[in-house]
Amino acid sequence: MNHSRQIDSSRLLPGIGILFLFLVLGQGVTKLFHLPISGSVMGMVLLSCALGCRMIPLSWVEDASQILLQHLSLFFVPAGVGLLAYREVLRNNWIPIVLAILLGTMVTMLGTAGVHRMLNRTEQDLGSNQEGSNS
Amino acid sequence: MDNLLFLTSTIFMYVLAQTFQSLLMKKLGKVAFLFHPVLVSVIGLILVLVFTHTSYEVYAEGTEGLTFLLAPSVVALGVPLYKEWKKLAAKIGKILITVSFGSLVGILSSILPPLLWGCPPEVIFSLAPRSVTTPIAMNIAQGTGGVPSLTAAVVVATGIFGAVMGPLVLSLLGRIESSVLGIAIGVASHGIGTARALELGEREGAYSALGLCLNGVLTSILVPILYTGANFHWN
Repeated sequence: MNHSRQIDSSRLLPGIGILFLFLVLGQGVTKLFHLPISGSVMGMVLLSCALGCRMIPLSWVEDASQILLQHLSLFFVPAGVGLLAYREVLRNNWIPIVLAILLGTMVTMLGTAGVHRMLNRTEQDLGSNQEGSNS
Repeated sequence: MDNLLFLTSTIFMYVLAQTFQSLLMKKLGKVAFLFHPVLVSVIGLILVLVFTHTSYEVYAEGTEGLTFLLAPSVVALGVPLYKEWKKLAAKIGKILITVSFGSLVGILSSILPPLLWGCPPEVIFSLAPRSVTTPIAMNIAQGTGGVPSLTAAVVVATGIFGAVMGPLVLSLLGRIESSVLGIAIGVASHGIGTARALELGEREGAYSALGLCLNGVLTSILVPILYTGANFHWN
């Protein structure tokens, strides 16, 4: 959470309203076209498109978005506690399930990172690598 | 009354876990990544529920307020995504190749362990969409003869594992750009991973959000294709 700007609290309420508006739009679009992705993910795409086309200014949603995203991990905690309810489902075949989660996640991460890094390097290897601003 | 109790204890447990981690960070350095507040507070709250003989349903009802905020927060990811807009547009081809590869690896690495173990198809297809967000994954599982509740459990476990281990696992690759780190975490561990990526930086968060989104689309195309192919083979 190292991107804390000063938040203007008077902008929070309209900002949150806009986020919900895009959630509703996202849900509507996915229902209408029977898309396989969830309404909130669609809302995220629509919001960034609307910002990109200058349909709404960044300042309208920036503060509300920051305050929600700062605590995004917290909102996943109840879902995590839900693992308790799935004890029974997980009990059968737990060995391959654990293997798929542990090995699968690591392999997927390393593979994705490896390929993306390779693709990045093929082009800009000779240029100065300006993107390494790892905080 | 009970309702407010669980919401309150979840928030305090999380704040406590955050403080605990930052204390550890000073003492242990990077190893403290393992004690991410999500992991610590989930374990803490599960212990509380077990010891107080509380069912998850009661807890879930009480914490609905927090879960409710997930959907608008995912929409809010559109903001960091927009801020990286120009850079992303310039390399969208590379990003698509990367996520396609990551999506395939994600599916195959979820299918292989249960397949080699001799698990029935419903278990295999419950695990296949493991790397994407819960609603998308459950949808895929439903359409391919999987068990949605098993999928939900495996998706959450994947997210927590990816969020906790991601930065450490990826440090195996040496010095790594924010974009590479973000996209890998997003593809492999969806929303929970993206929340973690945001803690590393806004650019990491943006790439992770894009990875989550594209992988959601690709996985929901690839797994049903695989299912049709497998059915054809089995019959």
